[in-house]
Amino acid sequence: MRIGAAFFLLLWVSFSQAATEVIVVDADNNPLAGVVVYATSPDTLLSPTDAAKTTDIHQYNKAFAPFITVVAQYQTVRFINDDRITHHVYSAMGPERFSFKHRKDAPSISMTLNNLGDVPMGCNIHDWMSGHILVLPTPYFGMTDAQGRVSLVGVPDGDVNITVWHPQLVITGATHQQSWTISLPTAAPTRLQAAGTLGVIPKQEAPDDVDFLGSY
Amino acid sequence: MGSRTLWSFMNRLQTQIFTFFVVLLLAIQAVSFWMTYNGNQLLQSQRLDNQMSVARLVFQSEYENRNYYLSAFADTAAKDFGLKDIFIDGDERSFLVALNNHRKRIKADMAIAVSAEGMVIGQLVLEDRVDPDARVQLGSEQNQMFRYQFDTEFQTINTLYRLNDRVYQIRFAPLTSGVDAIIGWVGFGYLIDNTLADTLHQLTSLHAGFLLIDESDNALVIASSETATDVKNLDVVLNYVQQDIADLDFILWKEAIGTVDSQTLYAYMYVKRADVLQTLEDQWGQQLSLILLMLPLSLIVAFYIARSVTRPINILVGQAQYIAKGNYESQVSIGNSIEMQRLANEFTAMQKAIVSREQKITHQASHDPLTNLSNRNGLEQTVIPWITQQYQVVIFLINVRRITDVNVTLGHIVGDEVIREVGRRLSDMADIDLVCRLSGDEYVLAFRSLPNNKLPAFLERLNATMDPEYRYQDIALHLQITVGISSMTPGADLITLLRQADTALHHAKSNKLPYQVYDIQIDKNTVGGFQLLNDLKTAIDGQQLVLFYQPKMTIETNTVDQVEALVRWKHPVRGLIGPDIFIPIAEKTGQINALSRWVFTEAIDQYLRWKKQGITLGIAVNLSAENLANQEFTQWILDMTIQHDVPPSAFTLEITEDAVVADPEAAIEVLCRWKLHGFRLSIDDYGTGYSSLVQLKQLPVDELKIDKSFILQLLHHADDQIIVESTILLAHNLGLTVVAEGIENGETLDWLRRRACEKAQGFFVSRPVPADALEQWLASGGYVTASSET
Repeated sequence: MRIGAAFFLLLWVSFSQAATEVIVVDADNNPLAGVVVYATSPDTLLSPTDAAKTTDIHQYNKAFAPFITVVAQYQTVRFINDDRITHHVYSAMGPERFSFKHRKDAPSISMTLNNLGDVPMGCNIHDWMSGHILVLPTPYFGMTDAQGRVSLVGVPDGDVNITVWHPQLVITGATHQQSWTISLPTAAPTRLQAAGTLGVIPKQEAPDDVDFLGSY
Repeated sequence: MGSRTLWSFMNRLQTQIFTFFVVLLLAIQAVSFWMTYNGNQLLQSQRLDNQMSVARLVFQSEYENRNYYLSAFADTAAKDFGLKDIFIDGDERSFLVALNNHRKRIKADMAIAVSAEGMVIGQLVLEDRVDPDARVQLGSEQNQMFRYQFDTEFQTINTLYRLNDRVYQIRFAPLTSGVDAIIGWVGFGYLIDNTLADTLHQLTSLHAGFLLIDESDNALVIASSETATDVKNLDVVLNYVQQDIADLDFILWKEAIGTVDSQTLYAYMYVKRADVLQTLEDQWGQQLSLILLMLPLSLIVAFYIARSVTRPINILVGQAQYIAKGNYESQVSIGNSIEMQRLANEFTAMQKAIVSREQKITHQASHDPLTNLSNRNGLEQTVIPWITQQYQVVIFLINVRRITDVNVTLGHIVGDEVIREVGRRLSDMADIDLVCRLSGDEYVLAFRSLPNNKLPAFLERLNATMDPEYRYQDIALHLQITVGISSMTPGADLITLLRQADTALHHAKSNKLPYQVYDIQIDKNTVGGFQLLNDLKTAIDGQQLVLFYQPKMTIETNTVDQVEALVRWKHPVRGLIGPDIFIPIAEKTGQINALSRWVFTEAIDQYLRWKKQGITLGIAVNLSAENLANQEFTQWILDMTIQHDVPPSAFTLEITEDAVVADPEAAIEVLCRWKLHGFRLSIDDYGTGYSSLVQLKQLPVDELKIDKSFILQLLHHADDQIIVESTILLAHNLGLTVVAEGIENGETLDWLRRRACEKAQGFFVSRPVPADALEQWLASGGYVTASSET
């Protein structure tokens, strides 16, 4: 009973201390859903305990799941092949370049990501598969919901950079991200309007002409 | 003369047919020429169009094929994991080798890779694609920033890439990590060069090339199927490409392929029209020379056709001329064609028709349609040769008597039947050489030779032939004819013979004879009459007329107190002519009044001369109906007695019965005036006219003269005696004295005396004699005038 009360207390304190609410909209004032929002601060450092965290990336039904995986630097991602076929996962650009064949029934493959940035992945066998791993120098990140809303927990008060990122977000200058500096705490959710819109997100579906794949 | 010759030449059928064919052939050849020409033109333009559209398709196919190749291959290369693997490994040297391997696979002239940041990370250029030993070198833009901005549509647009003086067709494909992360771009290019132009030339047989035109309109030929850039007709090409001015001697095509570095790249193809059409021109020339060769040949053929068509016509013309000369027996034959044979048959038929019609016309010309006897022509045709051959020709001119009466009373149909019947009967008679009908009721019988001694027998037969009654329906007619006969005398011709027969006929008629043979004596009185016409006027005016006097003797006393003055004409040539001849002429020619005036004047003069000599004789003067109708004359005769102071009672005016009958009322009026004046009036030739007794009763006459026709044969004919006796009785009862004419013997005189006829006149008493002869006769014969007695 006391333990439960303490947990509740702790949860409440955390929540009350550092829940940063952000709502992201695009240039047309439409909510941007599924975009990565993270906060950085010069004071914020990643703790080693964070590095122990492992995030799973599935290859399921010939698609990367999730499409975007966000990890903090030095954390590990684990590739799990849920399909009954072999995938050849690679990344040929960005901070982490790799290439491996992931046969069916093979054990998961783990990978520690030591370099910051977007790791665009593909499958050399299934051209349509597309996935991203965003390696961030901060543990304060989240993804917006359907309303473009996200809560970043534990972000220390003071001036912070809030960055919005998505591989299909096209901001002037052909970059995929935009940053704002805001002072925390804020009384109400911070509304951020991106100077661009979201492009078409790859569907990771086999084109019609390879429908035969469904049978194996 | 020349134009006339030309005219007749142009009007010849042969010329016309020839001309027709020439015109026709020329027209056909012109049409054929025109059609050939048009066909050629069409063929030319089709061929040119074809050539052009083929060229266009070939170009598009060739050019697009290269683009497609490049594009497809760039896509394939970009998907190649080997290239991506190099990026994963970061081995730039291997990347260039891999890129070159790809380039070689499609023999691209250039391979290029550009990083996502726009850096040319690989540029491989083939220096000379023809030389198999040519090396691939790094391009001058290696490791430099790419001059063009990529965007997502880069690979779809028609891209030209220029490097130094070379222009490439180039296609890029993105090299990606996954789907949406672009590592860079891989592109491959084909050089637009002479090889391409040559290929186009070989495929299209058109000169092909490419040229760049910058904003200042400067043109640079970068490739040509002709040797290097030595384009022979550059001006033509440039004019067309730059200003769109097409030289008509060329077929031109152009297409702006795209722009590179602000310069427009044009592809062009052209060919000299003459080159394409050379073979066509050759065919055309052959056709034309064929037409020219055919022309004289066709003219010769036309000439022969024209001649062969007109040849039968010429034959026909000759045939027609032959027929025109009277040759009807020939068989016309011209050519073998059905039409010409028909024509020939028709010609022959026409020939026969002409013969038959000519015969018919000849028959009609010489025959009388009513009786089908010969007519005057026939007579001439037959008799003239006889005369020429000096036969003793005899002509009978026959007149059917009273045919006019038949026509009037029974109609012309009966008259015609009578004429036919007479003709039939004459034709049926033997021994006649020719029977003719001259006119209405006149027939001619011609004998080639008829001796005089056979004449009576023939006349007998003629009478016998005509004697039977002719019955037409219910009418019985007695055919009576009068005949005048003339026979050949030396020097006479047919006309003379006919005239003599006519004279004889007239003589017979006037003397109520059944026939008369011509005698020169008859002719004197008759024929001359016509010539006398003109002489009569001079006779009246001059001293050619003379009065003869015939005593009118008083039977009871054998004394003469009155004479009848009878006019005679002492013709200077023809001698003495009797009144029978010239009085009718005078009557017909309106000279009777003049004649009567002369007679009456002369009678008065004679009366006065006799008076001086102590002879008192009353003079009777004959007047005609014409005199009675002429008022001038009726007055003149009254004035004359007063003028000459002679007693009118000394003059007896003798008027024929016919003169009164003509217009009885007027005649009676005149006679009454004369009677009143004191003239003695006498009816002459009584019994020959048709005066009625009523008229006789009304006439204020003193005397009645019985015509001599009753007196001449008086003693031999009982009926004459009855007529004369009753006439005398009638006259006496009417208070008229009676004079009998034509007394030629004493017996007649005695007979008359017994009937108490007052006066006698005739040869028995005295012929008409000149005045002096009468005086002697009176003195010698003991006839004294009544007045002298008294």
